[in-house]
Amino acid sequence: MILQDNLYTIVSQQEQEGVATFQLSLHPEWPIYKAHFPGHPITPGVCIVQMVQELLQVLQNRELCLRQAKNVKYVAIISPEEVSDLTVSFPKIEQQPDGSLKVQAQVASGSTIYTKLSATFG
Amino acid sequence: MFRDIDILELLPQRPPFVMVDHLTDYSETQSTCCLTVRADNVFFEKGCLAAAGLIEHIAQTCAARLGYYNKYVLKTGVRLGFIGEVKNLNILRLPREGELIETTITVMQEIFDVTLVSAEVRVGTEVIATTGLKIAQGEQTD
Repeated sequence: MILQDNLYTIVSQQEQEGVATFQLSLHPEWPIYKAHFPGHPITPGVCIVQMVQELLQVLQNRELCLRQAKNVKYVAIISPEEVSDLTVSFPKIEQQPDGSLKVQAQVASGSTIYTKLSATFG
Repeated sequence: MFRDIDILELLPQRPPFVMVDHLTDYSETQSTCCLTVRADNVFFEKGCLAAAGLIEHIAQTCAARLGYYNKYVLKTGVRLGFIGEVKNLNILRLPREGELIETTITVMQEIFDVTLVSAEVRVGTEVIATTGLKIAQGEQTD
């Protein structure tokens, strides 16, 4: 795992009505924030993709890699100075005949949605 | 000639979060950057550049094009940039350690501070990934 326990820590994990949800805490001291960007720390959008991939691996207990993305929409920017915890939920995880997973994921904090992802991991 | 420009002149990102080595071609509508996959990359995992690193490399190819335009054409400063959307991404395989990847972005639409591009990532003549990307520009860096 590249980002687990570096960018974020899993605080809790639950499943309700078939939707898996993780509560995460973000680490504002993560050194990459000094590089992205100097004086303007912002969570890189691609780290959200990596985070979703890592959480999916935790859920499925196997190696998975992003193969295709219909879309990843960044609705709002995540600044570690303003956002300290995130909720990542998986409204859809659908196994395909070839073993890959069709996934919808949403990243939010409180009532603010930051990212919506619709992708295939295999 | 583009190759000779220090990439840090064109990008708002700083090491260790720099995912392009050089701008190799520039025009207003099409640009190319290259990267050699190294084990010290933040997104290096199990001998390959992870998907997130590949997408960041594509996004920074857009950033290098915008950086060149802002710095050498408009003669202003480099600006922060953000990914607004990744659309129709298709990864055929991940690039491995030591491989040189070349990414060409083609501008499809540019409206104020938002640029839509289509991107193709190659190792030699082999296409390993394609995607659409929406990039938004933010404030000028210091």
